[in-house]
This record gives sequence, C-alpha cells and structure tokens, in this order.
Amino acid sequence: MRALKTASLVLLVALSGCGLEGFFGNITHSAYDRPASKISGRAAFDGAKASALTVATIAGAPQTPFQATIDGAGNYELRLPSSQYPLLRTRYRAANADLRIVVAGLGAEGVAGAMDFDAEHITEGLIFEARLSADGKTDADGNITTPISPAAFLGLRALVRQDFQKAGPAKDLLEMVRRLLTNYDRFSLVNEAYFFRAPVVTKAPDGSFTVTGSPLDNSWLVRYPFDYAGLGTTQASSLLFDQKLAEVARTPLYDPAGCPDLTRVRLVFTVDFRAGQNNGSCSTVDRFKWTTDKPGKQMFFVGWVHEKSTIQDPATNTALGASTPNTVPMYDDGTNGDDVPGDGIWTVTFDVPRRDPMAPTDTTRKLRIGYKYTWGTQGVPWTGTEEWPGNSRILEVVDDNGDDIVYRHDVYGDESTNKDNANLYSGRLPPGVSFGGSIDWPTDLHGCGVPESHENKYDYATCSCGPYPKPPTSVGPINVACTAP
Amino acid sequence: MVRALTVRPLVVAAALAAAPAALADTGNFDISGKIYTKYMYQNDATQGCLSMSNPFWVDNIGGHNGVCTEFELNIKARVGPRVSAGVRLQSRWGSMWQDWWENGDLKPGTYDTSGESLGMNHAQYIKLRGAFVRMAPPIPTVKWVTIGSTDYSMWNEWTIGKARYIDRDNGSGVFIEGDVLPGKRLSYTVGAMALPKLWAGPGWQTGLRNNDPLASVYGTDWAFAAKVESRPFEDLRTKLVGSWLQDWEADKNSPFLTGRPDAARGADHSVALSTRFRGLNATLDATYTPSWLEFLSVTGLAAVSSNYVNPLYATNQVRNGQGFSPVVYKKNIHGEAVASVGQAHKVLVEVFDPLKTGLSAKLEYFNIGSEYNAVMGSRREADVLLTEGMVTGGFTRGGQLPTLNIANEFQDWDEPWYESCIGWKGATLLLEYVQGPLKATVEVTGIGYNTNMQGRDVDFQYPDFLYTHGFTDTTAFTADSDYANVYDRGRDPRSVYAEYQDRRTGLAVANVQYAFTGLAGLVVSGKVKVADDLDRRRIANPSDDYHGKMLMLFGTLSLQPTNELKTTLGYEYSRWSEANREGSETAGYYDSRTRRHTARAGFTYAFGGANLGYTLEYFHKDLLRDPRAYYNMLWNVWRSKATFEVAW
Repeated sequence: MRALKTASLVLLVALSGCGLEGFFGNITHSAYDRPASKISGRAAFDGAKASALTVATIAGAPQTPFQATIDGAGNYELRLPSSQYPLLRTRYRAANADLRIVVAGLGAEGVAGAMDFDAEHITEGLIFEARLSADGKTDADGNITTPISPAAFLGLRALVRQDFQKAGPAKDLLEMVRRLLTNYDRFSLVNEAYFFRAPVVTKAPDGSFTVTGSPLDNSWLVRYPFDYAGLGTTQASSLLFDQKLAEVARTPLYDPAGCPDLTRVRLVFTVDFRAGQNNGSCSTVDRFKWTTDKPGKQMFFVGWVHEKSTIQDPATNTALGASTPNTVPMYDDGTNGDDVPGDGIWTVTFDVPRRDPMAPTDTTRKLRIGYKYTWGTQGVPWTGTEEWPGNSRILEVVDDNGDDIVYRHDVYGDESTNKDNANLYSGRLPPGVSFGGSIDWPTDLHGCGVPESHENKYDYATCSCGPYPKPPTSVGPINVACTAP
Repeated sequence: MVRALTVRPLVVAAALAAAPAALADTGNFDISGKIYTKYMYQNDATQGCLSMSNPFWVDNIGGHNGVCTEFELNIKARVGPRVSAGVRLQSRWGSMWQDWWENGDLKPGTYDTSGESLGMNHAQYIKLRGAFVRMAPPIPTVKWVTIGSTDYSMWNEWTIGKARYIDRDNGSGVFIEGDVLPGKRLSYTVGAMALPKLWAGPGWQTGLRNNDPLASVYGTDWAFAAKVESRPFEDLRTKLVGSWLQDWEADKNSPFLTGRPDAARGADHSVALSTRFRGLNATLDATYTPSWLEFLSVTGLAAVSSNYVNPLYATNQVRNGQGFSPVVYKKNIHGEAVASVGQAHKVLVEVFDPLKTGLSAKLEYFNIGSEYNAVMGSRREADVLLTEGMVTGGFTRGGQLPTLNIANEFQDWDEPWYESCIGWKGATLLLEYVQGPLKATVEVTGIGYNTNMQGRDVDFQYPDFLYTHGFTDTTAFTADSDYANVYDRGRDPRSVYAEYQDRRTGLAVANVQYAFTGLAGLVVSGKVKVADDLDRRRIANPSDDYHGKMLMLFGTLSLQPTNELKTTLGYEYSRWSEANREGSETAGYYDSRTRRHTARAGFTYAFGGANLGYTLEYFHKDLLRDPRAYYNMLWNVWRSKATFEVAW
C-alpha cells in the first residue's frame, strides 16, 4: 500500500509539468490530413487500367494533386492543395477512351463528390466545350480562353440535366455517349484515344453550328462500326453524333458564359508589394515605414463593412475579415485569381451584394467598406504588419465601368489615395476639390472623374489618370445561368 | 526646513531598527567570484579571443588576436536545512580590451562609424547563466529534488551526456533522485530537461524558423531520462539509463491553423502536436570487481538507439545541407521515413599489477553499430573508448564519442579534439608499466567498421560530412576561413559514412615518461604513434584504394624550478603518407604527403590564488599534393595564448 502511494505521489509530481502535458495530450494524436480540396467519384472500366488521372483548369493549366488514389473498384480521389479553384476538368485516360468531366465550385477544403466519369458528366462536358468552341472561346487544344463562372456552369448543368430527363436532342446525345462508352477496348494501347476528343465547332452567320472536329475517331468507326445512334443501323462515321452535338450545343439557354448575377458583384483587390513603386503623390513608397519585414510573411487583406454603408450585411463583413488582421490571405502564387506567381502583386476576390439583401429593390443603397493590407503571418495582431496604424482605405462598391467587376488596384503603404484620414496626398488638387488631409466618399482627389473611393483610374506608373485597369485575366464576373436567351 | 532634513533620517533609521527580521543573514550566503583573462596572438589578420567559434552563424567573437576579460559571481544560499539555491552570474565573453566604448549597440544595415557597433557580444553585460533550487522534501524514497540549471552529468555519454564546459549551466530541468532500497542496492534518478533549441535535433535545432522553414516551435520540446542503479552485492554495480528526446512541432494541418475558426471544419481553438524528431537511447552497464581477485575489473555495456525524423517538419540536411547532419534520415524500401536503429556493445577487462611487478593490462572489445547515435550524448570532454583513436597526436588530446553531434567548436587551439566512433568494431590492448619514476604504456588497436558498405545512400539518408578521408589535421584546423575545408584539413571528425567504404585501421602508440629527482623537477616524456588506415572504397575499382600511413614522434621536457613556476618545452613531428587521399570515383584519386613540425614552450605560475599560464607555439606544415590536380600548401604559424585567473 505504501509502495502504491509512493508510486502515485511520484507520478503526480512527474505529471505536474515538464512537457508531460503535451505528451499525454498528443500521445494518441494521429497527424491531421493535409487540408485539401477533394474531387472524388467513380471511374469504373472493367479490366482497363487508367494510364492517366489528371486535373487541370479549363484553361489547360495542370493542377498537381498531392495525393491521387484509385481503388480496385474504380473509386478515385484527387486531393489538391486547399484553395479556391476555378472551373476544373478532370481527365481519365484508359484503353481507347479519353474522358473529361467539368468540376465546378471547388473551394478551400471543399469536396466535389460524385464526379463520376459517366455518360451524364461526359455529355454535359461535351456540350459545354462545343458551345464555347462555337463562340470562339477555345484554342486549338480545346482549352477555354475566357473565364467562366462556376455558377454559370452549374446553371448550364442544371438545365442540361433537366433535358436529359425528357425526350429531345439532349437525351439523344446522352444515349449516344452511353452507347459509345460501352465500346471501349480494354486491351487497346492506342496513343490517341478514339473518344472523346475536344470538339471543334464553327458557327455560321445564320447561327447554325457545324462540328468540324469530331469528338470521335472516324477511322475507328470505319473499322469497328456499330449502332451508337440507336437507329438499328451500324454507323461507320461520326456524322450523326456530330450533328446531334451541334444541335444540342446551339440551344440558346446552354450558354456557358451565363448571364450577370443581378444580386452580387465580384470585388477584386490587387496590391503591388514591389519595391520602388509610386504612391498617389508620385513619390516612392516606403513599404516598411510602418511594417516590419520578416521571413515567412505574406500579404493579407483585412476589411469590414463601413459604418457609413447603407448596406449592412454581416456575412459580407465576416468574409472581408471583420476588421481582424492577418486572417484573409491574398495570393501571389498564380492561384485564386492571381495572374503571375511571385511577381509581387497580390490578389484577393470576394463576392459581395450588389444590392441590399434586406431591400433588393432599392437600388440607391450602396455597399461601402473600409480595408487595409497587412504584411504578416496568419493570425498575428496589427502591430508591425499593417500599412499604417489607425485610419483605413475606403471603397464604395460601385461598378463604374460596367464590367460586372469592381476592381481596385493599390500600392502597399500608399497613404495618398483612398486613405480616409491623415491622407498624405501632396499633388495638385483638381478645381473645386478641397482637401484637408482627409477624403470623403465623393472626393475626386486626382481629378480622374471618379471618386477616390471607387475603382481607381489613377495610374501609379505614369502618375496620371488613365483608363480603368483590367482585372486579373482569370477573374471574371459572377455569372449565373441565363433564364432567357 | 533644516530641522525637517535633520529629523527625517533619524526617523527612518529608527524605523529600520525596529523592523522585524528584515535583515539579510549573510551567514546563509556563500559568495564566490572569479576574474578570468585571456590573451591571444597569432600571425594572421583575425581579432578576438576564441580560436574557433561557430563557423555557421554570424558571430563576432572568434579570432586570434586580442585580450578579453570576464567576471563570474556565484551565489549559493542555504534557505533551510533541506533547501538550498544558487545562481551564477557572468559577464558576456567577447569584448576585447581594445573594445573601448562598446555598449551593446548593433545597427544592422547602417554604415556605423561610432565604434559602438558590435552588439551585446561585446558589451560585457552580466548575464544570469544558471539558477537552481535543490531540496529534500519528506517524500518516501526521494532524496533530492533539483529544479533549474544543471550540466546533465547524471546520465552518460551514450544517452544524454554531460554538457560541454561552456554549456555547463545552459541546460535546465527538474530532477528527482531517490533510494528505493538502502545501501545503494536500488536507487533511481528521473529527470525532465528542456531541449536546447539550437543543437539537439535535425539541422542542429529543434524549431528555429530561419534555420528550417519546416519548423517553428521549440518551446514544447523536452528530453526525459531515467536511471536505475543497483549494487545487489558488493562486487557488482549495474546501471540502466534510458533517455527520450521529443521535438514537437505544431501539427501544421490542425484545422485551427489552416483556415477560419469554423466549428464545422473541426477547428476547436486547439492545436495538436506532431513529432519532428524522436530520439530514444538506452544503456545497461555493469562493473564486476571480484573481491576474491582484487586486481581484476570487468566492465560491460550494451546500448541501443532509435532516432526518427519526420520529413514533414525537418528539412533533409543530407540532401539540402551537403551531407552535414547530426541525424540519419532513414527511409524504408517504400520511401517512408523510419527510425534509424542501432546497437552498441563494449567490454573492458582490466588487470591491475597482478604480479606486483608494475605491469598492468587493459583489454577492450568494442562493437558500435553503424546507426547507433546518441544525438544528445556527450559532444566533447568525454571519451568512451580506451584507444587513443585517430584524432589525437602529441600536443593534441581527445577522445571518441558515439554521436554525429560532436562539437569541435567554441574552443582554442590547445584544447582536445573528439571524433565519432559510430560503426567502430575491434579491440584495444593497453599495457602499462610503472616502476619508480618511470611510467610507460603501449597500445595496440585494430579497428574494423560496421559502416563498411558499397553504394550507401549518402545523397538522401546518411550524412557523410563531405570530407570522408584523410588524417584530420587538428593543428591547422580553423573554423572561420576554413569552414569549407579550403585548406584541406582531411576527414571531418564526424564523418563515419561514405558511399563506398571497405575500411580497416590499425594503430600503435607508445608513451614513456621519466621523472628525474634532484634536477629541478625535470620530467622527460616521449610518445610514438603509428597508424595504418586502409579503405578499399569501391571494391570493384582497384585503383581507388585510400591508404594512409601516419608516423608521429613527440617529446616534452618539464622543469619546476620553484613551487610556483613550472616550465615546459615540447616538439612534435608528424608525417602522413596518403595514397588516393583526394578526388572522386569519376575524376580519380590523388596522393598527398604531409610533414608537420610543431614546437611549444610555456610556463605556469601559481601564487596566492592567482594563476598565470602562457604557451607559445610554432608549427610548420608542408602539404605536398599531386601537381596534376592540386597545388601544394605551406603553413608557418606562430601563435600564443596566455590566461590569468584569480578566484576568491
């Protein structure tokens, strides 16, 4: 008994510090999985092994999964680094088949499940590709050369899936794809798959579509004709398939570009963190006037719905960072809307209300936000990371140039443009503009014809007013499925 | 007003006199101090008071010309009969007498002409170097609980070794010592120690972001150790020691760190820890001294080690650090990181003058596995093998340690050198003859290598420390300008792995010393060392064999004309002939020859608590290399070191 007490006492002493809490708290811990944006589904082709299971943006930029698995039953999973992804295409290559499906709306730690390489996904993808080709929005390799809103694609998918359920050309095309899929040759080792290649479609002046580059290999059909059209006769060419695809693709509502979302607008910020850039007074910005540089830092955005905003939306306030610094990362790695990796220009995008969700018919209400950029690490406080202490940048979310994107380009540490108070603008003032070191929402400090608090037309490089700068090329407007042609 | 000024001190004094028991009881204090001064000279362009500081990080205390002084104050307090405490305060080493005005300023990135620009290393500030509390609480079996600084000397060289002298109170922890059975039949020590952030782990650190971008947390890292000692009967002593080094990092994929604190993501405002490095070591050793055979002593030791590096949190320094790493980055056949596991065994039989003729003998068998590694074992100032080994010479002392983490740094040119004995297997026979003023020893050692292997992966797994062959020249070794070994100093003492190795070494050492009587304390001593080191490297390539032959002759003469003064004069001659010392499998290998003459003269003077020492050295070295590939090099170096120490 005494030995037991002794042992208990010693154990108690030993447990009371010295790193043992960490040990006992983590001894059973299994390492967390790396955060991932996952795509999963089925790619079941009996007896044919996948020679490629890849994923790329619809523009053709390969994305590298850090983990790719496919089990014996044909269930696959691709784990991409956790991030916001634009529209993606996954590709499964096996035997004489080359299958592509479109994945939409894959977000950070998001899961796109049931992305099966089945007739439905493949058919809707072919329609999508064919329509964009006819609209001149694809290149020779079938890569799509214009940003497509995931919402627009999802709208297209919904329409197509509805049409798959009823008799008509869409269902006919679906059945053709279904029959073609049963004719893979598990022993085939062809270099170029027999089906389905990226369609090439031309549009005539009268609006009719013609498939000039078939998804099917005609030489294969000549050698192995079969009744893919379900007409009771063997087909030795892709003619019927191509005609059906052209017919379906020209359906007016099947517009992948979609139509502008009337309730939300895309808000895009880029900030130039390169050394030696001009500020709004045409003098060189000292990036580290207030900010401390240390290894491991990156750019963050911090914003909030301004108290003078007539739209007060808690969800938007949260998405902008709710005035908590170093929580909303910006990107300079070629992802999430950033154009060029490592060029010192950081990007972040938000989808914010175009109108007040509480009063959608009132078009006079505007969203106004305050914001800053911080150079820090995740979760650290303001000190040493913000552009400047106190004050903020202000932005009224108004789409002045009508491109359905509100785009603001800034230079880090610039205290001479849309900084509300203690503004250090020292340039010439346009007529009629008074300036006492502060700007208000309508102040047109540089005389560019738009308020300083809007999309900026001021060109930092030339220190003069210019056209509206173009937003990053991979960022498009928030489009949704069209409800009318 | 005048009246008030007169009265107020009296009131204060009266109040102090009446204050209850607030007076310091100096009888409880033990205060000691020491002033240490070092002078250095060398015919080169460096300045400072440390021959070899750290070659890696930016350091401004290393150099060979200057005078420096430090002051140390030790305060020990007897708080009560069972509680004591102590601290050591010491001024920062590094400021030279020539460093007038230095005040700690460091203004990086500015063009500073103030002369106050060298930072705190030259500011001579007093720093708390160590603090401890030791108590004997009335807990059954517990003898002592120590909280605070210690040198970790309670374990051993194969597990957690005694910290080197300069780190003697940098380590802190909590330790409990106790006796379970009386008469030392069973006693124990357990301890938890804060891991040093800078050297005990992959990349010589445990989470310094600037050293390793994969790691950033070191405040959670600890070492734990336990020792059980038993003397079951008078003739046998046994000891079991186990240690566990645990380097944690925050699990980088903890939901709280990877995104918004949304409960749906599993973010619960907590961060889990993942292992960056885990080192396990254990030894069982026993000493048998039979009372029925007093001249005999047998000591045995068995040791195991396991070192695991998590590649998610530790940059591979074999791949990214040119093969300089204190750990092996072991992978299995699937390419997954696994623990590097090794064993070691040692038996020492000692016979002390059995025939009463003055002749004693020691025989040691050692077999240290190719992957035994005590990452936090002794880094220097210890020796686990009987043999002289390869690194020692005449003036140069040293030893062997079972770790890749050996530290031949922060030392002067007259201090010992240490080499890694990982993978060594063989035996040493040492004969000693003592008769009156004569003392002589002869050592013969044969060494094979468990590390012998063809095609070892030194690109990703096993650190080779870049310089794998050649006798190490400790005399010409400098850390500042020669960190990249541009002066061709031979094998790195830590290097035990090579891509191709088929090696065996033989060495013999003879020492003789004679103390003359009546000749002012004249002592004459001499030493001869020969070594033959053969490495066939790639067995399929008969023309790449390294074959080094060493001859070292050494003699000293000491005189002590007075009680206070002792003088020494010595000379060492070394000749190395090395076939195929330098080169590569693709470019071929080339021979080299080395001749080195070293002479030293010095004295010590001890008087009334003051100690003065001075040593002057000259060495001349010729490194003669194959002119088809390399140029020759020549050293003519004068250097001296003086120390003056007063303690009270």
